Amino acid sequence: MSLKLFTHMFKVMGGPAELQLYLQNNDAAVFQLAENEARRLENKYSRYLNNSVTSNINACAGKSEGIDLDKETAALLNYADIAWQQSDGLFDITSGVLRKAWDFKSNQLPKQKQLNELLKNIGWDKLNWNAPHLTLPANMELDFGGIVKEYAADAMTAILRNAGVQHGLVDLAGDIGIIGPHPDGTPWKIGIRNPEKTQTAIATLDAYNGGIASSGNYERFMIVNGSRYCHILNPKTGWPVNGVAAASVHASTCMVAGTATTTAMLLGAAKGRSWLEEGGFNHLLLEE
Amino acid sequence: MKKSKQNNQTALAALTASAMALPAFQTQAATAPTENVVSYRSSNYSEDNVPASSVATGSTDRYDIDIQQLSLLAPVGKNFSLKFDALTEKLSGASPLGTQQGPDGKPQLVMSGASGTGIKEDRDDYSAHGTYYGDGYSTGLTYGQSTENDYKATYYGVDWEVEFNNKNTAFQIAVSQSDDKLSPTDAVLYGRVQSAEKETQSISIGLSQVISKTKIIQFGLSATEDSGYLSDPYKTSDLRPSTRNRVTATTRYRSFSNSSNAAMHLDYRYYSDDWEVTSHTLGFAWHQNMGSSFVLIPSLRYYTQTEASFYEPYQTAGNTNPYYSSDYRLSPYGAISAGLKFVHSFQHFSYTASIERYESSGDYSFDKVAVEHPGLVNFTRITIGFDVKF
Repeated sequence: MSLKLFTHMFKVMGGPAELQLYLQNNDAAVFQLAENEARRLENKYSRYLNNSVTSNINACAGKSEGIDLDKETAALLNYADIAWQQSDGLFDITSGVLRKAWDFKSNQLPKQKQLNELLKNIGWDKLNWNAPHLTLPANMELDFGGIVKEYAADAMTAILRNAGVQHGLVDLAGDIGIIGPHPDGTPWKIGIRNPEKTQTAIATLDAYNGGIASSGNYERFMIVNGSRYCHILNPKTGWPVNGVAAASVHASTCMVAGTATTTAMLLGAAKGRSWLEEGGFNHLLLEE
Repeated sequence: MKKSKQNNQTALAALTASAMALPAFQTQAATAPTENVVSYRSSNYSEDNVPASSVATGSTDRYDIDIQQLSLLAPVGKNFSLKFDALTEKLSGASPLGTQQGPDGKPQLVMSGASGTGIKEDRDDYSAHGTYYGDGYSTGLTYGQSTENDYKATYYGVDWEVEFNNKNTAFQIAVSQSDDKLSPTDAVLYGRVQSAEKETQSISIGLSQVISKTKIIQFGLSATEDSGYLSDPYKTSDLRPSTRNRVTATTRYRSFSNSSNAAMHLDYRYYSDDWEVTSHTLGFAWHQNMGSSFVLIPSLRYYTQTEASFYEPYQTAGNTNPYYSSDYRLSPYGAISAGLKFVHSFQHFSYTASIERYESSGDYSFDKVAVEHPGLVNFTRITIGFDVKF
């Protein structure tokens, strides 16, 4: 009974996904289990599908009757609530409406007046969440984009583990869930992208389990009048953050790691670093 | 909706606790082991010699026991695990056969064997435990046998555990039974009972409650009935009632401190039986993590007990109680033990070494002891071992 490394690649949630699993044979059914889970979550929380949970939630904005949510979505919202508290209001799943003002392909900055209008519709504390019941003020939107990909990496990891896989990893465009180390007990070496030369690694991180998430100013950005504007937007000002070039966190789950990297980016270099240190996160933070 | 940040918790702990409530982390059989674990322990238990002034006749040596333990835990499929335990003990030395009044009026020990010709004995214990992990519960069966040349015990039990309240609360119940057969050596020569039987039935319940991310408390209650031949066939004139009803109540508290990266364990146990022995045990241990792979565990334990209703320091002519024993384990005394344990873990391997020093005395008893038993033991136990996961 010897294990061999098999890989499987597909596209999901707008990016590449790769599964690296040690199996006795190339068992397509095992890979399919994990891929199905990613597709289930993509369909459930997509902003673009009319019948998704996200669309149903956003359709009831301004309606006093609100909406009752399923157990999984309720747990995600409870998590978002804790993340909002722990980040002092910076990690906010209501901030997705800012994309209406920011088009990173346009190379044009939005008008402050437009941002001011959108900021009125941002703020986790403005909605009424009493699990499982949610009411959303008019014009507000939820966007699970900052949570669901990380959650999917964890969910796929859990499903594969339950299917008997003990050694392998799940990589959803840099959101990584680790099932277990290589069969000989050695850790996975996870490359941390160099923000200045994004095809090279600036460091490698040894990981036996848990999840790793990375965030950087190189992912989506535009340069206007010589200044760099990245896609991570402060929900309080509506403007892109600066100070942190890249942040990576290794935590017990990819979801927690993802929340931590985003929060560190939003806080900026000095505050982000001390938040990660005081919070007890295993991290790597590179300043701009 | 709570809006205030809870400062007594790190962001990591708060987010992790919240993430764990998600369905992906709630899949069934999550508690079933997924790895094989082999554990080995080797211990030496060595009792201090008795001072010659406390011995009327026989050896001043006491027991020295070498103990080897091997355990194997293996997952079988997704929802089932099997655990096998094997233990072998090699015992040598001498033990008190009884007591008599010494020249100063204090009791003295009558020890088995002259020096160098003490008891040599082996004990082997094998047991198997199977556990089925269901959705939010687990249930297990145990079967085991313990064999010595003059003693054989067969034991079996059923246990059941259910988790609820988001896995923050767990309730356990277990019942067990042991059937023991005694066949003392040299029975005819010394007028000992030639064969006898003893039966033990026990029921226990437990409740574990997670108080916070870093604190847990456990309560336990158990009732046990022994019946049959409960006397010690090797002790002179030892005659005990044929039933013994015992109850214990335990409280265990575990608290982890992020700032010191250590866990505190506080344990209390109350014990009482209808032979009128009551005891209290207070335990404290500090599990200090050093880096991610070393743990150092200093511990302290205090024990105090009252004497059995029929215990006498030595037999006197005027004793009207039909029962009699001068076993030091039924005498009034207290004990203090201190231990130090070290564990070093790698990814799939860990090894451990520990030392424990135990001293018992009438002076350590919570209640004043008029006549201290001369046979109270002091011992040192040293253990080394390793665990491998694969």
